[in-house]
Amino acid sequence: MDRDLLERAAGEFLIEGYEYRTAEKILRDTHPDDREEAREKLLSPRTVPDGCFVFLQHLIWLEQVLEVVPGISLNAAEVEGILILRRSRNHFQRTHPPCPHCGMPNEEHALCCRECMKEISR
Amino acid sequence: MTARKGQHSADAPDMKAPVTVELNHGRIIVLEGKNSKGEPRLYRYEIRRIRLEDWDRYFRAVVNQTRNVDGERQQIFENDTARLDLVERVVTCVDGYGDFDAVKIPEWRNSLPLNHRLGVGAALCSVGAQEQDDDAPLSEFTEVKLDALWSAGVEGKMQLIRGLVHRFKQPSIEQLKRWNYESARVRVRGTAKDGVTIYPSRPAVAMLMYDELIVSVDGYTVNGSPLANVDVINSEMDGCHKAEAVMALFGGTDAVTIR
Repeated sequence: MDRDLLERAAGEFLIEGYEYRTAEKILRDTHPDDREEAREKLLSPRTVPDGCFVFLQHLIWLEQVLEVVPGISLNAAEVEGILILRRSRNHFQRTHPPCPHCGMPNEEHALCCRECMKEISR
Repeated sequence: MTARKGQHSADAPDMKAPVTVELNHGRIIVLEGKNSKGEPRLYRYEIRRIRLEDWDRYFRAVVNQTRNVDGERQQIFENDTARLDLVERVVTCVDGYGDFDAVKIPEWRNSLPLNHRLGVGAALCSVGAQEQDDDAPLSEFTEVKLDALWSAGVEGKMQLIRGLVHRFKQPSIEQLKRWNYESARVRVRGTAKDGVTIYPSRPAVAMLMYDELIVSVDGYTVNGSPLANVDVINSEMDGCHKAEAVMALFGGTDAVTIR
């Protein structure tokens, strides 16, 4: 798997999860026939082939397994993939600091939390 | 070879007998079609035993891709070519097409109607896992039950055999990891606009992993004798049944989900 593609996929995957929380609320109130179109408009488009996300899902699963079974052997692609995933997650957390009130991630420049709507002092 | 006229009846699949799959015999596939006058007609295909390498070639020939064209995602799944190739390699004799001399038509397999060959291909691959019984008592082994269309009986009816049992050891975490890794080992090229993802052949991987996990089976025979031990099972079991059983063991096709 190409490292650059995987890194982009990881970044997009994390942003997608972040956006999905807000999108979910809007989608709930959207007519079922229009949901797919609305989902496409609400979420940032993916810019890498689908296969990168398939491998990323394997890495996320593997990361969870490693917490329970630390001794499991990994191949080079998996080790490198997990490192890329962790680096991307660190970057996401830096650029999306948690709200001091509810803990939900927000954009760096946000003045109020998109979840609890309370003011964030910078 | 001279083709014989088909004299068999193939109504609905026979749900009763037989209860076992005889692995060492060839298979008979009977199709019902219509002749040029629109009258019903039966076509009978004799199939040699399908070996593990035949199945491996079939599984790897199935095309499973996603392709992005101008931001639109297209799913491409194509197994007709693989089925035609499989049928061409394993059919040994046909009935129901009138008399022809195979010496004069050496490529007679290619002359068979396309929809018939695809129908035979579909019948050869016709095996599915029963739903797992959540109420089953806890056991050292995991049982997977398959239903399969196997071969036409003496009356010429296709036989649906139910409840073919495959008993597996519990997969280790390493085996589970390997299954997930092999299933996720996609090949990608291009960008989001024109990117292509080529998915690996999960049945081919499953067929290989079967040998590590199987403990015993019920419902299969070789020359009339049950498959007594793991070595016999590994060498004699049908590849398509191996693959289907392992995919059911690991949770079917939903182990890796794609948005």
